[in-house]
Amino acid sequence: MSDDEVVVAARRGDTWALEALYRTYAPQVLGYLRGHRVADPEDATGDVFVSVVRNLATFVGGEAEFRSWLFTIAHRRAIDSFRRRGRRREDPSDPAGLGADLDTGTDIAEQVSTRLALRPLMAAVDSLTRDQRAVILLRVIADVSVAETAAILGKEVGAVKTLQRRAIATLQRTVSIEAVS
Amino acid sequence: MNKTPGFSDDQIDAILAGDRTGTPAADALADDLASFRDALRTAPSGRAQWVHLAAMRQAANEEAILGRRRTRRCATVLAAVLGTFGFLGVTGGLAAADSLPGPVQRGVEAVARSVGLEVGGADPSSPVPRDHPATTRDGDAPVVTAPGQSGATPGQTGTTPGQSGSAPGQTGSTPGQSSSAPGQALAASTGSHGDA
Repeated sequence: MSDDEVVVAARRGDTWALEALYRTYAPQVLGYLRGHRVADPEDATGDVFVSVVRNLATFVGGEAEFRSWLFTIAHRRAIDSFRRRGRRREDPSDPAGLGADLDTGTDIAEQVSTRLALRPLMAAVDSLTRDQRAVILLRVIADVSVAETAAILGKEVGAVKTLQRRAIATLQRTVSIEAVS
Repeated sequence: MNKTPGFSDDQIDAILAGDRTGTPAADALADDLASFRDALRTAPSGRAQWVHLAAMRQAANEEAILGRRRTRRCATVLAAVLGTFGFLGVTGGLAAADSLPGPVQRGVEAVARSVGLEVGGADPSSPVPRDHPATTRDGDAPVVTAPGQSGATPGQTGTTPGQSGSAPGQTGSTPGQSSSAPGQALAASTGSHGDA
């Protein structure tokens, strides 16, 4: 069965199709929300998928359109989190915000090692502007194209290219400095 | 200010996808971003998945129920709208053909006029119903007569019927009075009446 058929079945309300979409996209949505340092990203991921189910009747399109639509909802959820977070102080002790999200199904030591190695890059992603970070996370975590990223963020393709170019430059500087030190 | 290497769009796409292009600076960043993707893009915990899927099933059931209610509500509204337009169409058609009873016809015409429509053959400016034959038009003095009325009571000629200024049979004197008592002689009569 193709991905488009799964989306059609999900629109009909078939439970198996909803579960299939969840299992396919939940890791990407969770990663996107983690990258934005949304408070309780697992809970927010659940909210995103419940919202998908509630609004699936109004959705039109196949798998590619579904992915853009899904990340549009996830992005709005992240913006809601920014607004809430703006009203309270952040905890600066975990700049990457990933300490509590280790995957218990795989080697914990390896994950910790990887994340320690990635701390500079994660801190660099944190230092990007909100739009630059959204572009990088959508391109890297959600695997969406420039055009899809533009549609999700409500921006022009040219603007997205500019944002990603500046973001890459910032990340490149961080990686270069880290390699030298 | 740090000088950063300028990557082409293709190189940027490769870096973001975690693909190596043979350029050391780009490859180092691509490797880091690939690790970054693997670190962040992990499945939710088992318990979280169970909670999420249960919430999604509940939402799907609620949406199915709401969807049926919405369908029923739409059908009811549609039926009401169609019924209203059908009734108005039939009523308006009959009114245009002057086929409705008088009061109903006038009511429909009034309603139609209020929305700028003119139905039926009546002059819309006439306030008087068309089924009264003795009606007046604009500019005429209103005649407040009933059908067959000519301004006076039938047979009336200005006086009480049979009245001629005196009582019937009266000729200016008391009936039977002839200025003298019955049987009285002329001489006596002339001497007793009119002398005083």
